Amino acid sequence: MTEDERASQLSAMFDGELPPAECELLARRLSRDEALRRQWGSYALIGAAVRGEPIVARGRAGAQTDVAARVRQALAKSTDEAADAAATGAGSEADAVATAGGRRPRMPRWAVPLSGFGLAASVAVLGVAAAALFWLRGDAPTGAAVANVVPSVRPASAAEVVVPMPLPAAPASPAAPVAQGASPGTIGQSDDSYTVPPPAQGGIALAGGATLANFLVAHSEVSMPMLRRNALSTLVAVPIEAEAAVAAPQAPLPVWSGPATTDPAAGSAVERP
Amino acid sequence: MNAEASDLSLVQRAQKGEAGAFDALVRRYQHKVVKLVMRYVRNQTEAEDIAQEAFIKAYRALPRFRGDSAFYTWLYRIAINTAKNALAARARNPVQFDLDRNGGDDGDAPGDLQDRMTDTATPEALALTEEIRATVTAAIEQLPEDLRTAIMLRELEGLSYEEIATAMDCPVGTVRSRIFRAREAVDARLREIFDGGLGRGEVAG
Repeated sequence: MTEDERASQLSAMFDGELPPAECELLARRLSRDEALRRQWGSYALIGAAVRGEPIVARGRAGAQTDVAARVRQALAKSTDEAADAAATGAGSEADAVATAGGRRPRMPRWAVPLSGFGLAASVAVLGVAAAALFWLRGDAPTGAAVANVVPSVRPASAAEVVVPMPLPAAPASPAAPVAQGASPGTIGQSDDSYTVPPPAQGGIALAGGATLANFLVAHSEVSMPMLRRNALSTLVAVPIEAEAAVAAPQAPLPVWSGPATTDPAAGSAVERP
Repeated sequence: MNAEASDLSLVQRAQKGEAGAFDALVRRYQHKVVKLVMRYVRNQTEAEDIAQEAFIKAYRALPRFRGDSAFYTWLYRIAINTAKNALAARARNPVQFDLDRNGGDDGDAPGDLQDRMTDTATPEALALTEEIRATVTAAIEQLPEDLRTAIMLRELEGLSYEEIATAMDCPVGTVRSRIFRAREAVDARLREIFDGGLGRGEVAG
């Protein structure tokens, strides 16, 4: 095939008048032959000039760069960047093309509201955490106070945690049983430690009994401060009469806190249930 | 028959990673896309920037092009959306002056901004455009009557070869030959006047 024949084919292909089979062959050659693409571009330029369309072309001194040349440069640059990224194991060709296009790769549209929600949720969590911290510092037992209590619980003997204890002289306020560290039945030695509150006549006592309270205190080391406080608060919500009515027919339950020991005060052994 | 078949052949090759095939598509449609974008922006330099971005977007989206519509229809939509996005961005940032293009850290030459400012908006560039148009018009006027009629019916009226053959009362093969010879004559004239010919960026550079 002569050059003229090929150029004639190219002209027909440009007009969409070449049979598909020939189109395939010529497209293959066109994609590989720069001179043929120049001719192809010239046909496009002539048509644009005849129709009065904007002419996108490079001038004599190269002051103008046509869009095709700029696209070629951008894509070549992106290919280089993609190769570099592949070599370094970072980025993608799409990112590189986006960069070559002069724009940063954007976050997917669907992820924009999610990112806003995530930011708002993070701020809310921080706010709640800060409020809880201030609240605990203000009037609630701190984590340090609990830490002071727990070590004293572990070595305690069964006799030391046996409840109830004799009634104190003064009725306790709802909050007092939790805060009275030095009273009889104390588990810890610190003033601000948790205590097993003495049952008060006509007052308020622990609803679940000292066993439950001790259990909660002993295991509060791994609980959140707010949950710990709430759990302990519920223990003082039932009047002592209610517990007394339930507990009266039964003998005091022994509390297991280790191997069988002898209560030095009562002289009786507390056996494992 | 229309340009869809030839476009599809090139698109399929571009989808396989043949950059030359996509380059041919860009060379074919760059004038049309710039004309389209100039409906939204009046400045040709800006229109060319948007057209460049549209072509790059098309290249990135090419793997998802399935040929359900003609390539130019698909490209048309991309160009329109890119132009609208550019307008929206301009509305958000009324004054844009990209200092990075003026010898920033991205490796651009220091005179790049000046080059951009002296693009088609300058009198020299406008004169060049007019000179190209005048050269093409003069070259077509100098063509023999049968060649001139064939190329004008094709380029200006958009008739198919068969329609032109009917109008000129000649075989389709003759129409194909006449149009080809007309184009070659005009291209030869352009090459005489302009360095390397226009639309031949690599040579002109």
